[in-house]
Amino acid sequence: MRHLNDETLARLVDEPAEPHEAEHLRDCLACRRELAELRAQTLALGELADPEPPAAAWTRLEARLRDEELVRGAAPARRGWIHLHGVRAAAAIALFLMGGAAGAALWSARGGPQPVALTQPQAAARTRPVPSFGEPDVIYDVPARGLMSPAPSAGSGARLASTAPADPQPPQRPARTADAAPPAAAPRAEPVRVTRGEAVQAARELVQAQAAYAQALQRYTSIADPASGNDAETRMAALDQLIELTGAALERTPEDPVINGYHLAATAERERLRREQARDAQTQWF
Amino acid sequence: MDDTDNHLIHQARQGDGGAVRALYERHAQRVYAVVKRLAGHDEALAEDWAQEAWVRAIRALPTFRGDARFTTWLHRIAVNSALHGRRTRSRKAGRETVMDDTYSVRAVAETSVLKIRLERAMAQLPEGMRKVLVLHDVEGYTHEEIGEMLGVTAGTCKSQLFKARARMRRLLAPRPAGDEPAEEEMAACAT
Repeated sequence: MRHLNDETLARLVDEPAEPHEAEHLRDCLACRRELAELRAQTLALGELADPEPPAAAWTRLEARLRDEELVRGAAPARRGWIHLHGVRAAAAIALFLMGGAAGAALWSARGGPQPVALTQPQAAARTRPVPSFGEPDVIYDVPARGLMSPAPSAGSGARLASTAPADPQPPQRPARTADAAPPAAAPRAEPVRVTRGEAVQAARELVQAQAAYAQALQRYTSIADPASGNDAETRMAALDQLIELTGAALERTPEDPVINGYHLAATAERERLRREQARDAQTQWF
Repeated sequence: MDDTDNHLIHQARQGDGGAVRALYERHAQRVYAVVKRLAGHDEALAEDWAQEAWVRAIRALPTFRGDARFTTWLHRIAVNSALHGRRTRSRKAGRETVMDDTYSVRAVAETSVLKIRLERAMAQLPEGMRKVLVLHDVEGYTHEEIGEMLGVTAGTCKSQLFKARARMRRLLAPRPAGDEPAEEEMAACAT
């Protein structure tokens, strides 16, 4: 028997079948499956999210509109309300800075990683944008000597490179890769206008959430610290929790360098602890 | 018509830059989305077309009577800008298929693999098929509307659409034996 061809199936996505086509579909599992796939494909096309225009597009458009005298006067600053996109951007910056500060505070308060002089290429790399997936040799704002290194920390946001690790490690790659299945796209956010008071409240809530997150990280970091006196199993459990916590956060904010830093450092420390336990198991044979 | 749009349009007609910007912020994403897909994800071309659409729309604002929603009116201008832009570009530069870094790792992190694959597959379609597929399956225009925009009959539009869907299917899930279902599926097909 002959199957329905691709274009016929494509037509049947949204048009009724002729009697002979309907009869074939009743009997042919392969064609029914193919039609179902085509319908799913068409449905998915209708649900694609709209991409954002480039950030600079308005500036270029505005210049042209002024050249053609289609607008006049300076674009007034909006008062009394704030566009939520702006709030989001400001909040993201605030979170980033606060995350960096929190990370630095955690390490310095508990004797965090040692500041390491940056080599010239590393110093140059500091100006690179936030690392992205699949990018080789990225350097993070990460306590890379190991989560529990005893030396004091550098200031907020210092980029720490593992120039002399106790246990040489292969170059760390980002915790998430492009191959990993990404989270589903968030539903398209409608622009929302809010009052300044609401925007301030939203920012305050974000800061509080970030503080709670930093406290959680600190709690686990303290438990996992070798200097805490906790046994290896307890520390290992804390590291597991820390990795799970930061891993979940990275699902939502995969490019956050601070969370990536915690995640990678905790993972490295867990590996170190595992090696230590394996070594102990060999030497303490009695 | 949306009250906010109505108010902004009234101000924008007077040349109020703030009102124009506010209109832009409310509708720029929709405009950019359709022209970008029609451009086969060529970002520079998409921005050119989006800008052209906005300039045309602002210029034509005094003629906008509000019979249709502003969004619908603007969207149609965007599509026409892209289609006109495409024709001009085809005469000047011939066919180009651009697959740039649109599919950045950032996008990978932000959207599903399926959606990225759909966008990529659309960008690989021949221009004629892509236009019809975008306008019908993504944007929801009817065959008659698309035919009018493209200067073809509704029947031609349908034919192109079915070809485009089939091509998309092959791009997304290529069959081992050309157009025919796989052998194991053939076996499952009752006679």
